[in-house]
Amino acid sequence: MFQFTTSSALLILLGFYGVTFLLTLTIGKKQENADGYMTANGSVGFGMSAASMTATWIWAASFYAAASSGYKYGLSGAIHYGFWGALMILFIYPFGRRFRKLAPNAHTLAEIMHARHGSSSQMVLAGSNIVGSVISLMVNFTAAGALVDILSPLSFVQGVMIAGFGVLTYTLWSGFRASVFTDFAQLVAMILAAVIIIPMIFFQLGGPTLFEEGMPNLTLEQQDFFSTTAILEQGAPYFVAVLAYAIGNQTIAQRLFAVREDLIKPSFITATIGYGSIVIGLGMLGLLALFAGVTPIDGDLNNLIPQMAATYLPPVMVGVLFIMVIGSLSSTADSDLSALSAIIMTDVYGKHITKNNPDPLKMLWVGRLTMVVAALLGVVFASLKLDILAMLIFVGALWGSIVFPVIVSLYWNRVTNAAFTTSVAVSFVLFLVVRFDLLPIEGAIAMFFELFAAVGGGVVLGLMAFGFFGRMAGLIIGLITAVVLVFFTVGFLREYTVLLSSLTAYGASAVVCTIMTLLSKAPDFDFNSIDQRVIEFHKEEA
Amino acid sequence: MSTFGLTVYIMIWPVLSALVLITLCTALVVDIRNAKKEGKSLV
Repeated sequence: MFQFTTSSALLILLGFYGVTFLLTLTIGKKQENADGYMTANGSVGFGMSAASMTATWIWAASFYAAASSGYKYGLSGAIHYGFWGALMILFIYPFGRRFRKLAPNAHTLAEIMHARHGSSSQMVLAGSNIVGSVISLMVNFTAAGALVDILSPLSFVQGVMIAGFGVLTYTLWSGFRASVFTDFAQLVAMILAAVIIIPMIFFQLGGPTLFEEGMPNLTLEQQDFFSTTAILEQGAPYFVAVLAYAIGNQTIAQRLFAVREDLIKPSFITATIGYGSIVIGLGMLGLLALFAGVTPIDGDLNNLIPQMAATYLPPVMVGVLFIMVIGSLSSTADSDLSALSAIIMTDVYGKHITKNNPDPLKMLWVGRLTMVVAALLGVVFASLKLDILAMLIFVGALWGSIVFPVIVSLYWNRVTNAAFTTSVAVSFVLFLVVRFDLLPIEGAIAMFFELFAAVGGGVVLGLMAFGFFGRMAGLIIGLITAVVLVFFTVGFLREYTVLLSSLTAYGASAVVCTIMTLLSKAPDFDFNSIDQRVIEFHKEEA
Repeated sequence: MSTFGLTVYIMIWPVLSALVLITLCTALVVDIRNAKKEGKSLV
């Protein structure tokens, strides 16, 4: 298999990060302001916003996982990764418009929760955002290490360190503004690579004749576009998990607060199509590998894309793929650094340490210091080669527990802080019980969780319907879905632990939050007060 | 799915990606012009 020499690999990496750094110099200001550093003052245009949203949502794992899915599940595999991921960008935008309307000057979603409920709800959300972003950083640096390791003589740890240092270098000074600005160039590189690489590999493998010759390599299940296995093992759990990512991920929320308010809808729709086409397209490389009878090196599906590229593409195009993957992981990693700095700046320094009266200059340096610490943590954790899949599931569940309480808190004026925090805590504990088999999932216990899972399914579809069609549609679709799902989950879902645990998180949080809210005697909340409590941190110069 | 159908199924994604790229680049040009006109930074 093709490998770069050490010097050419270093040249590509240094060239990539060097050019990116030079790009950020064109927007750098000697005196950055705190709001610009966190959300670019909420005035980013359509092109930049849509590109940044797409680039952030696509990380290195998107390519590898989509291709793995295509290889494992056949015809529908890549769709079951990319389509649901794309749909989640679309799903968040109606809620995003509500968030912006309530708090036009917000920097983080946790900040809005602070204004709505107080410290404990804020810290639940901020804490889960921090854990999620550190894990995401680690995953992306890990992907850099793995790619460098497979395509060059450089070691895994060297790849991790170069990526960590490179991303930090160009993000540190201008923060979110640098992240958004470089996202555009990184996305262009990704799209160009996808547009060239997919057809090249397809025709290298024989073009349409590949399908006639390779069809026997697919099982009947893999040939079925509506494969139940693909839906239950890949599509449904991912659909549920990504829904949580869309709400719980500060990188997405940050772009929501950055885009000009009238451009939220077109930006999100374009990002949906962009994400879907790039990720599903690269996922098709896994399907092509299946047709061609390719066996992944060491049996590791993550090797599929580099392996296909190194086997079927000329060295120049392997270099293009190298840049594409480094671009995708860097665009997500810089977003995670910006997200983490915004959370520490706003939710820790701004709200807790200075009680809403921060020193803007000190605040900026808090953000920069956060980036340095976060990048170091990401590099150290990545070097330890931790099991990232288990961590992703863990964070996905944490976010699954907060989706319903967060959304409902911003529409229903009776939800209380106690209902929010208790529902998150209870549902998270129940998730842990199922996911890690802390109790035997059988008999009445299994039925207990399957009922919650049915409710969870209703919550997922109900929320989606609510976002687009309003309260009544949400309630009706949610209720019908939950009732119908009871017949499909009870006695069946216990075999699919991942899906059962994720849906339990949604269902339990919704049930507990709703019951506690209905029983509460607290006065109704005035949503207008959120705007007064969520403030800008810089003063416009006269 | 027929051979032609499968070919379209594979090739539609790079085509869609290219269309998104054109949309984004056009939008960026508009963004740059607007930013210049208003004397503001692009981000």
